[in-house]
Amino acid sequence: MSAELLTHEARQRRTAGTVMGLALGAFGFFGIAISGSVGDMFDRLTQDMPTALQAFVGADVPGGYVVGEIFTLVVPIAIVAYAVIAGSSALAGEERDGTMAILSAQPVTRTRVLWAKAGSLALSLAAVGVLFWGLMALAGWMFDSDLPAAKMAAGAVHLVFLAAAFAAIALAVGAATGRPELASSVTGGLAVAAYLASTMLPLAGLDRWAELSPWYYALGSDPLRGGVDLAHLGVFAAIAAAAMAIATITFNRRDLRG
Amino acid sequence: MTEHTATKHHDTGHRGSAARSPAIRTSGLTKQFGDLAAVDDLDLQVEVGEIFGFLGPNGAGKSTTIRLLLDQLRPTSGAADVLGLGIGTDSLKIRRRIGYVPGDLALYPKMTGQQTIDYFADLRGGVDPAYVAELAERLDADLTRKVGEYSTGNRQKIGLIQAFMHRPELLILDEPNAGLDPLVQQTFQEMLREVRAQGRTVFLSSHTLSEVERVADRVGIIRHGRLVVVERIDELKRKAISRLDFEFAGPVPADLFDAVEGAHDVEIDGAHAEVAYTGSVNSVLRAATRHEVIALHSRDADLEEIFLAYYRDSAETPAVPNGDALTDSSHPAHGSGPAAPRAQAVTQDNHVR
Repeated sequence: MSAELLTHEARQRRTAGTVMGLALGAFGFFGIAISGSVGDMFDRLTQDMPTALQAFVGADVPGGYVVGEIFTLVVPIAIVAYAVIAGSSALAGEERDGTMAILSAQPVTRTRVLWAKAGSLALSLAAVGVLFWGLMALAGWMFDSDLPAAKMAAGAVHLVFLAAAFAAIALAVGAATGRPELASSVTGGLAVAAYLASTMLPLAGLDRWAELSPWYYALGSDPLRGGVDLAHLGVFAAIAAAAMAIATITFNRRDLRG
Repeated sequence: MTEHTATKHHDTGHRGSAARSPAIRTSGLTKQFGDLAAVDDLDLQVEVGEIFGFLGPNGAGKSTTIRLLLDQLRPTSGAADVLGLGIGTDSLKIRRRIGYVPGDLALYPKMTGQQTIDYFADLRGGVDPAYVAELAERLDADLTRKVGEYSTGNRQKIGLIQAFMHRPELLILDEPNAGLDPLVQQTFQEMLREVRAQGRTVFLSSHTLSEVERVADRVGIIRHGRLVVVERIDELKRKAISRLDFEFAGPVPADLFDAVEGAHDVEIDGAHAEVAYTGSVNSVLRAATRHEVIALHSRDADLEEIFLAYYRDSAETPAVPNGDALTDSSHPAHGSGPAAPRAQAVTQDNHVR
C-alpha cells in the first residue's frame, strides 16, 4: 500500500517539480550558452580581483562567472526554496487543507504516510536535478562549454542533496507540529542563516565555522572541479536521516490536526 | 417513522469473537485540550447491528470523540475499543474494518471524483468496482469532474462512496448529511437501513435530531464533552409531549380537559383550545368530541424540543429554559412556551449521569 501512497504523492508534486526543473534547466541552458561571450568579458573584469573576492562572486569556477553564479547563487537558492516549501506542505499541508482527516482514516500507518511523502520529495528533487542537468549538459554540448557534463552532474547532485537535507528538515518540523507555515518559516530562516554563515564566515577568516553550514557542503566542496564528494554528500544524508528520525517519532506521538 | 429490526445483536460472522464485542465501547474516555475537556469521562456502548445517533450541538465533542476512536487524537485518559480492538494498539486493524466520513470533508481539489475513489480504494487494497459504480449511481454522484469544481453535496457523495465501498462492518459518519439534497438524503437513509439489515453497524453523528430520527435505533446526546443521555428513539417518542389544537363550533368550558389524565398546559380561549398530552390521545379526543369539533391540528415537534432542552441543560447547570429560548425558528408556529418546562422535566428524568 506504500506504492499507492507514493504514486499519489508523486502525482501531486509532478507539476511543481517539472516546472521547477524546466525553469532551472532553462536558466542553466542560457547560462552556459552566454558564458562563452559574457563569461569572457566577465573573466577579464574579475581576473585582477583578489582570490577571496573572486570566490565570493563565483568567478573562480570552471566555466567562469556565469556558471559560477548558476551553481553558487541562483540555482542553490531556488532549489532550496522549492525544497523548503514542498517539504513544509508535504505532510502538514494535508492537515492545513483538512485532507488528513480522511487520509489518516485509511488503513495505512502514519509512518508509511510520512515516508511516502519523503519518498515523493526525494523523487521530485531528483527530477528537478535531472532536468536542470540535462538542459545544461545539452547547452554544454551545443555551445562547447569548457565545463564537462560529468562535472555539471556532480554540481547538480550536490545541489539536490543540499535541497533534500532542507526538505527533510521542513518535513520534520511539519511532522512535529502539523503547521506548514511554521515549518517553512523555521526551515527557511535556518536556510538563510546557514547560507549567510557559509558565505560570510570565510570572508571573516572563520572558515572552520562555515563548515557547520549545510551550504558549505554544496558550495564549498567544489564539485564542478573535483566531482562528487561522497563525504560531503554523507553530511546531507546524515542531516536528512536525523530529520526523518525526529519526524517519524514526533509524527507518531502527536494529535493530528484538521 | 423509525424502523426496527427484530434483533439488534446480530453476529456478523466476521473475524470470530471480535464480532461479538460491542461495535464501539468507551470507558472514561477523556480528551483535554489545555483547560478544555473536549471529551469528558465518556462511557458509551454501541452494539453491533444498530444505527446509533450521536447528537449534540456544534462543539459538544462529537468529532473529537470520533477522532479519538480513529487514533487521529490520543486520549488524555480512559480507553476505548472498536470492534473489540483497542484504539491505540490496533488502529490499523480497526481502520481496515470501518468506513469513515469526516465532518467538514476535504478532498484533493485537483483529482477527479473517480481518481479520488480509486486512490482510497487502492489504499484499501482494492474494492469491488461494480459496487462503487452502484453506489455512485444510487447517490447520483458525478465522478468525472475535478473535486475542486464540486458543490459541497457532490463532494460529500464522494466521501460517502469512499466510506461504503468496502462494505465495512462499522460506518462512522460525522455529519454526513452536509449539503445533500433531500432526495439524496432519503437514498442515504435507505443505504443506512440496508447496512443495519446486513448486521453491520452505523455510528451517525449529527447536530440535528431530524437527520437521525428516522433511521437511528438509539441516540446518545453529548454536551460539553459529557454524555447527557442515551435513549431509544421510540422511547423518546413515547415520552415526547404531543399537542393538539381544537377549533370548536362554539365556546367550550374552561375545565373541558381537567379530568383527562395526561393532559396539561391546557389553554382554552372561547372556541379555541390547545392541549398538550403525554400517553394516549384517546382520552383527550373523547373529552373534546363531547363538543362539536370543526378542526383539529396535531403537533408532533416536541421531540425536537426535548433535544433542545438537553442541549441547553446539563447535570451541572440545571437551568430551566424559558419559552422564548425554546422557540426554535424551525417551528415558528409552535407555541413552545408551555411545552418547555415539560421537556425540561423529561430531561431530568432521563439523566444517566
